[in-house]
Amino acid sequence: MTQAAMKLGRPKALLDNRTHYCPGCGHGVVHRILAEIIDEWDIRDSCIGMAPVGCAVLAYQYLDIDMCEAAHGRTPEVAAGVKRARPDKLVFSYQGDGDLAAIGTNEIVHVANRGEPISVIFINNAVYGMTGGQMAPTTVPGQKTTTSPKGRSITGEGYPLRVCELLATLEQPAYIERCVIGTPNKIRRTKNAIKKSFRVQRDLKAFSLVEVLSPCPTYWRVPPTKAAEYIETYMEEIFPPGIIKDTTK
Amino acid sequence: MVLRLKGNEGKPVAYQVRILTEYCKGCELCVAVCPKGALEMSDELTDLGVRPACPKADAECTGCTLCYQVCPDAAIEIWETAEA
Repeated sequence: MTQAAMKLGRPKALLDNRTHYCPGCGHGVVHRILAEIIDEWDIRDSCIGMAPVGCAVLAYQYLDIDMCEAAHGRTPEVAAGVKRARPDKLVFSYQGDGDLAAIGTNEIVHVANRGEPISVIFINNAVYGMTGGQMAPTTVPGQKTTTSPKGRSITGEGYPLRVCELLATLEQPAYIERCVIGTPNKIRRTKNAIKKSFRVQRDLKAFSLVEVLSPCPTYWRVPPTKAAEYIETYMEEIFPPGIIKDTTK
Repeated sequence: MVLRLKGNEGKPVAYQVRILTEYCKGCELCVAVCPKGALEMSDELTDLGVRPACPKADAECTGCTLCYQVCPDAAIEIWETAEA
């Protein structure tokens, strides 16, 4: 007699909707990681997420938690407001690079500078995914996008913005790490980083940010199976993964 | 189905990977990452018009969960079969 039991499956905090993301997109992996952490900590009723404007604009259709939608780039400020109103809740802001590093640069800098006790998950895929793959501030030099068909040039468009290093110069942020969605090992490290960021918020009441270098096979014009290699070759040199700032020790 | 001895319990268990085809978008990440080559792309199309991943008929799944880790659509379940 044999018994079959499910060892691993879809986390309960993930709704039964099929995501609208392209095949191989890193958003789905980060959603799953978030749902797993929410399940493990059993915080589905005490966790509030902020959906950005960008590819992840419909994140509230996929995560079974309370979520708010903010104006483009204003996600961290809204998260800070929610956290001030409901300090007992775990509040995270989920943002892409167009939302956080372009239109919302002002907001993220001031929220980090005030040390608002929120967790920011910053998905960096080096292009504007939702609007059709235009150049973002985080686009790596030489990368071809629909608005830089000859590749991003340093003289014309400048260097990519390193948000983690920028925010690490401020006094208040307690924990800033850059992770990668690529090999299973790196994905596990990303999960640990997001977990630590939540812990920093819960225990230390401090600001933390996790940047995730996430694949966008569609607008990098590579097959999903080559996206991890793409990140390693082109992105990790500009955006070195690792802990950028950690004052929790 | 390949039976393996599990940890300290010593009971023979077998692992099976199941693909939830309603979520699968056919990105092939799981096929590429499987160290045992236990997955392949199906010939049948889903309602999205993509070929989903499916376990091979003679799949030797060790339950390592790497396919689950990389799946962007949480379309993978790992099942464990043990003798009662």
